[in-house]
Amino acid sequence: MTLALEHLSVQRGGRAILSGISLSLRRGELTCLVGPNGAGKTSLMRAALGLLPFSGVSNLAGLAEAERARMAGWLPQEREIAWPVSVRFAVRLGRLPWRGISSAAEQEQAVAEALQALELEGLADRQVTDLSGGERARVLVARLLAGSADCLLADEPTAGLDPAHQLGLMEQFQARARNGAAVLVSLHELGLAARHADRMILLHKGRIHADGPPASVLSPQNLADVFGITAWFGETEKGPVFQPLARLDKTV
Amino acid sequence: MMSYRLLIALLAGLAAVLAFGTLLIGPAGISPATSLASLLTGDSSDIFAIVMREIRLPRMLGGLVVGISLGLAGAAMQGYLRNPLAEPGLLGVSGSAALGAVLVLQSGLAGLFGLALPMAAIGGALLAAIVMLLVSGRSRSSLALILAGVALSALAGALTSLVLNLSPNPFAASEIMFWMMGSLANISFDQLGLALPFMVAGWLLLFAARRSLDALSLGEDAAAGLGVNLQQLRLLVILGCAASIGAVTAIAGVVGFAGLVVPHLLRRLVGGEPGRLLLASALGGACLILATDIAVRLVAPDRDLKLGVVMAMIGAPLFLHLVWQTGRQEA
Repeated sequence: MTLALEHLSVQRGGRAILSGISLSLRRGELTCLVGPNGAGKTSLMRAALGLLPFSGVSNLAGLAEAERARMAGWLPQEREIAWPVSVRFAVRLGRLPWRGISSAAEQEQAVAEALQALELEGLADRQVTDLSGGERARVLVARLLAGSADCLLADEPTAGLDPAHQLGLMEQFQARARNGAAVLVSLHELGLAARHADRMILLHKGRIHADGPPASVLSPQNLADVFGITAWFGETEKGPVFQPLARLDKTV
Repeated sequence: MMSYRLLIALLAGLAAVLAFGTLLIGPAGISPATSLASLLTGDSSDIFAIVMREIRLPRMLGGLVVGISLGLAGAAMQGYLRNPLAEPGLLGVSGSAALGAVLVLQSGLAGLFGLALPMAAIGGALLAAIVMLLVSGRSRSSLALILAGVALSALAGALTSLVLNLSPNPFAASEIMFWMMGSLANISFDQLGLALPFMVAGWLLLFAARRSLDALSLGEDAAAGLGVNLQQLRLLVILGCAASIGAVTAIAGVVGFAGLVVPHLLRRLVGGEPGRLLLASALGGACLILATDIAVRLVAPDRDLKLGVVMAMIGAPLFLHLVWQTGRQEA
């Protein structure tokens, strides 16, 4: 089961945050959700999971909490880890929805695989409070992957990270998609999105402005209408490259 | 870091030793051997047996359950609010319980039948819990809870002061003042019988929250994503704290600080995991309260020194020391 939304709308304080969002994610695809600040990216993900009141239909939001958590993993943008816990403990939290369903060996296996995928084996017994921002972000992604959900939703997982960490995380999400998961990642770095996305959804003022392959979504017209910028988009042997060039002379 | 099981075993052992120790100390000045002989084998004409069974045994059991409740509720509150400065009193529960007790003391009802005071205290605590649940309402954030708790504590404190302020009878006023200092000295089996079901219910609710508290380490949104029902969790924490801390106030008056300092001390040994801290903190709370209750009787055997007073006098400097140490580590 992946994510399917029909006419999803979110109101807050009498203002429409999202209107008439219909989309469904496909297994095997990494979908990047892009759009300016305030476009509704975070609200879309939270409403889809039932963490925000909405009208319309989300197939995930109707499930019982634990069942939904097994179907869909959620990585919020805030990289909060409140206490000085070990990396292993933080990653194990990803297995919480599977308690009593998976055997102890399966639980540990999933945690070990997630630690390995994010190259955290060497840090497993360290305290998260001693880690750098990039390491902490990797721990939380490992926590997400440990949940082995078919559908992953990650809100700006690459924000504030150096390029190597950004590329590393995107490769992880891509690998998970290749293994059959449906992955939705919201991003501000359009270049990163262009390089890794199989599909891109451009959100503007709470509506889906464009939905398709990166090359078509990042058209000059869309970039002008939504972001108010011009950009260079080219194909290289390593894949598509996108670089914002200038701000158009109008307020966005 | 010490193994968790070893730590739990050590704390449980220490609590048992301290509990045994409190049985042997008291103003009656009975020798340890006689104390135990009277406790176990004395008949009802034996005055020592009466002292042991009607005074020291309930005092020991009271110390044990008060300590468990304070330590556990403190750890649960810190875990729930993700704040090492949280303590059970933050919910306004102990203040409201005290207000209930003070009203009964002032009105003279306390003298009419023995369980009026503890019943009023528990009633006050449960009322506070209901107000907290209504006011913090449908909001899922814990911030609303903290703010409502602060307001409720202030209101209960002001009303308690008002009762004292308007008290026409200086004896009633001083009785209230002494009661509020917190003590295990006058705990009876009747009171324990009334308070224990509430405490145990509170313990069970708080322990039921342990996995959710673990998940909450990652923040409210991530915990919700992991399948934690935040509203249900809040219900568990509020009702668990209200039942156990209301019952503590009912039999021992206002005993602060243990709920703050015990989880803080033990976090260094247990690690940051909120779920594991619950049991360790419950046992640690029992150790601290029993040890303080021994200190109270050793330092001034015939002055009826109050537990709450000594607790704060030991606890506050200790806490300052901890803060100072933490500051030095960070520097």
